[in-house]
Amino acid sequence: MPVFARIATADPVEATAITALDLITVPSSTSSSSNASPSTSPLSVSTTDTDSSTSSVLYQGHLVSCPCHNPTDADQPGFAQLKQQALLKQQQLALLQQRLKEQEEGQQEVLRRERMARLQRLRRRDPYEGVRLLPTRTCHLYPGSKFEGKQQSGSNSYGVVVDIKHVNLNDSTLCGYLHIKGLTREYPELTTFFDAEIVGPQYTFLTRKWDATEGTDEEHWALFQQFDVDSLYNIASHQEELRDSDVVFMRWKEHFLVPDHRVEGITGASFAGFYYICYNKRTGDINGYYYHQSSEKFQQLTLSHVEGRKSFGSYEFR
Amino acid sequence: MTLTPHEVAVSQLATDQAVPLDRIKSLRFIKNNIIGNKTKKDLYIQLGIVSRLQDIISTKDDKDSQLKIQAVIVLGSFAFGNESNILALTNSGVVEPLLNCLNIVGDPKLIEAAARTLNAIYSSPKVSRQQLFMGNHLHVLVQLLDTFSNKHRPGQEIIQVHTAELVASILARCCETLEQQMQIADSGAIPLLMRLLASGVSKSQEAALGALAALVKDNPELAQVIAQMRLEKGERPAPFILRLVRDKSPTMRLAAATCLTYLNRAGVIPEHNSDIMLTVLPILVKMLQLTGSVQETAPQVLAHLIWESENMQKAVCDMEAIPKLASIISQMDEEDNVYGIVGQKDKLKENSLLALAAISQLKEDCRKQVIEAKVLSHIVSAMSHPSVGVRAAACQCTRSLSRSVKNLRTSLVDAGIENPLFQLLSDEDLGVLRSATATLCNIVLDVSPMKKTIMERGIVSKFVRMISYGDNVVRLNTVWAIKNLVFEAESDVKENVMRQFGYNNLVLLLNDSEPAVQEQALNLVRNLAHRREHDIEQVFKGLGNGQLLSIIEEKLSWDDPKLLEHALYVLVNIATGSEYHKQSILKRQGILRSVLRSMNHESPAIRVASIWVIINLTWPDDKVPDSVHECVTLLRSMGIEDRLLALNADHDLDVRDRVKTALQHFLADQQQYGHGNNSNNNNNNGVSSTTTRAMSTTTGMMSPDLTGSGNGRHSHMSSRHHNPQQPPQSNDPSASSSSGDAHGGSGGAGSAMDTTHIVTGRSGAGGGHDRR
Repeated sequence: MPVFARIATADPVEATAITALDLITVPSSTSSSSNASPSTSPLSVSTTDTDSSTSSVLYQGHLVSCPCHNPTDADQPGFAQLKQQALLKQQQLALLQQRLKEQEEGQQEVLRRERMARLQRLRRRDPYEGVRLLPTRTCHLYPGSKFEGKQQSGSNSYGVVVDIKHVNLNDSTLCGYLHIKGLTREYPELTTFFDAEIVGPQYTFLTRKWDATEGTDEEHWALFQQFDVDSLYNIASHQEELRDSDVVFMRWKEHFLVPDHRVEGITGASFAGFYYICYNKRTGDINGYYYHQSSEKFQQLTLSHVEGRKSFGSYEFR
Repeated sequence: MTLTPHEVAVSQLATDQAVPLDRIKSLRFIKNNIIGNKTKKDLYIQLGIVSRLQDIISTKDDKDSQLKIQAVIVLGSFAFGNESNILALTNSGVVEPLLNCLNIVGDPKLIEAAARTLNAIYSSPKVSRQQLFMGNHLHVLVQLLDTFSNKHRPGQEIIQVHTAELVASILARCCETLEQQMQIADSGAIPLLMRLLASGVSKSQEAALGALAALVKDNPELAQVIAQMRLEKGERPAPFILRLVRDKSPTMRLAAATCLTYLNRAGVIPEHNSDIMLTVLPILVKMLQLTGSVQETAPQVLAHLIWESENMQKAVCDMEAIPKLASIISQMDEEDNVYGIVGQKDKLKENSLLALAAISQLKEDCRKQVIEAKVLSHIVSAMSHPSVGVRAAACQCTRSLSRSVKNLRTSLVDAGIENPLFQLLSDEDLGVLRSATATLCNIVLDVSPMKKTIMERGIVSKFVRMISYGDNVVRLNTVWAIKNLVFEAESDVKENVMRQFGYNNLVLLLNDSEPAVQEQALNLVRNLAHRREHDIEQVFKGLGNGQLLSIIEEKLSWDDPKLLEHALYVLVNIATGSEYHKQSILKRQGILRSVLRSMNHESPAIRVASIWVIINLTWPDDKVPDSVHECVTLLRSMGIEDRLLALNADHDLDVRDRVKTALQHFLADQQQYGHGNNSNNNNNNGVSSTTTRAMSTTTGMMSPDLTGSGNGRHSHMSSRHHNPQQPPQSNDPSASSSSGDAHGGSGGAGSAMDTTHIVTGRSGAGGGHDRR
């Protein structure tokens, strides 16, 4: 019985209780913690026990009386007396068992409360908690990252700055602002919002929209020397993990003007098309070609990452 | 004055009146009068019938069970379909005597009637469930689920089955809290419900599904227990329930789908993921086009099923669920306008909004569909709905939609969500407040034009109150909002925020009991000490001398990678500050050791962050060249350069690139100050040669003609670098590369300007770091 196994190592009260238990359960036995003579009768148990008297011990903060043998009766210990002792010890044992039970129940209660608290936390969990939109980044692509360069259209060249605002590699998307200088007189600097489809697990090299045919796709992607024509139709190669590759192919599509998204139609400028983009993770350079059915072909975008002693803030959608 | 027959009937119920037979007659008379007649029900309640009935069912005399049965049935009739009547009943205390009627050895008809009445009473969520869980009631109730035991009484089987169904339904309705779930489970209900589920009787199965669903909802522990059980033929419950999802009865389909949904969300039936995707999802979506209670509940179950699952959200999106939900919501608004009926279909609206929120939680494509469904104006007006549930759900919708830079810049501005949102920040309902503060986090981002307007309305002054509201979620959302608000903000905005919010509050949050709050608070520090020396200085001052670094030092010792990353970036940002700021980091051995340790962290993001600390600390600065040299020397003596060299072979490209930049700083220092520097004499030569070797590798990898080497795609290029000995293995620093030569040439000249110039020039050629 594990209960008693524990008692045996504990305090004097417990030791008494074990004795009592022995007396009760095995009345013929003479076992007693203080008795050295194994063959003596029950009567002799108390005679050898003359030193012990009623004593008190502190048990768990309570003063507990330990009924032992009364020295005056020690000479003639009758059966009734012994029985009374046994009874007292029995009571003692009951008390002790009660305490142990309470203690165990207390421990169980603690465990139960912990379990309930854990389950309770799960219940209260915000359904957005397990799928946080933690900021993602790869090399030079992170929120707050900046690229500078130009867009070449025929003999004209326009200064371009790109601000990356959000990167979600899990969704194979990113977005940002594209500032372009000197495109029209009305707007010395135009800023558009664009988002990107990153070629990978979600998007293939085939655009299938924005007036781009497969021919258009092939003709543009092939302008990047890192592009392998075979991968145009090869679905498997798109699944390649972004981190394993040195270059990232994307399509950038502008959607509206910043700050006022309601402005429509700017004379002399259009963002109806989209860019085929190749970003080099090692150099931080971005190359791109603009495509729109009715625009000049192969307008080239060349950007490089703005480096510096870097400070990084961080935000997260909630 | 004469009495109406109704008054007579009520008066005859008094215990001291009439013979039992007359009382039974009166009860029958009343029963026939009130069925389906709300006016008469109200009349009788006014005549004080409830206490008379209560007297009858409270008598200990078991002989006149007929009288009791009739009284219980009349009580049930009052309870049906009218919440105010139910509350009139419970306020007079009928629940306890009704529970006492459920005596297992009593008259089965009385038991059934009492169960039916109790079930009707518990249909109101406003009724307290407490009494059911007191004394022996739950135990007795659960025993009534057992229709198979040998307590069978011939001829009573049907009544026993009906009773069991009613009991299952009562259990389903009294299973809201975790405590209730656990008590019901402990009472031994689950095996009995399983047998009811396998009974083959449709109504019983439906009732069992309802109770099982209520038990496993948000309770992974019970879900696990139930998923692991076996039905009589050894089958697990999940495949059995999957068959019921295809039942011809819509209510059965819904009950089965609900049960599977909760099991699935508890993560205990992963083997059925595809079944749920292919079977349960389309069935739930189709239910949106039904009517009544099935249509009302289906969107809620749908939402619950797809939260946190990108795949399921996408699948539901592909099933055209969004236009269906949108039309439910907008149609309801039109009906409200025409008939002025408010409140009738609140639950349907709430659930539909919730489903939209769940669908657009993760995928930008799905958000786009919601915007295109032209439902946003209805969502925004629902944010001011009288029902708290609708308000909270509408706000959850805007929360999902606002997780997009594009929407923040366009549709949400057009829909004008900031006004109703601002109102909701003062809402009395906790659920509303939670979803409103969560949405706020997205609205105050720098890409959101609404940031300006919401700040002008005084959002900052609300933060302190929101922090001390006493709810963990609201507190977390508030810190989150502040950190998003100061992200990339101007200095005056940051100062304004912190003046009103107080650095003392920030310190409290940095030591919050919730690690999630600490994480956000640390991120806030990171954003405050970002970009400008002035901003860094403000944080140093605000937190008090030395305390900032002490806090960071403590956070760096945590195991939590999220805390660690933010703590490292605080250092990265501080290291861009003044000489004083940099020195305050370098003075702390503990911090530097943590940085060194983090360079070996399993997460590449943390390795990158720790290398950035080194990069910024060792950044060449021609104004204080000696100090940079001292810094490099110190870091070298700690073994950081060796660690960087080891990271040259890191499998993460980003890590390798950062390492290159950092090593350039060490190399530049070495080339300027030579080999004779202190503290590293014994292995100085070794280090310098390895550094140089690493740098030549670097240069090689960065030169344009080698770009793309290694991935084997560009066979036309391979002839250009046929030398298989790449990278070069030269041990002679001066021969390693042309830039190395240049540095060597300028080394010792002490011209800081020259050095910087050369570094810039070389980096530029490699496409590197020239924009300082």
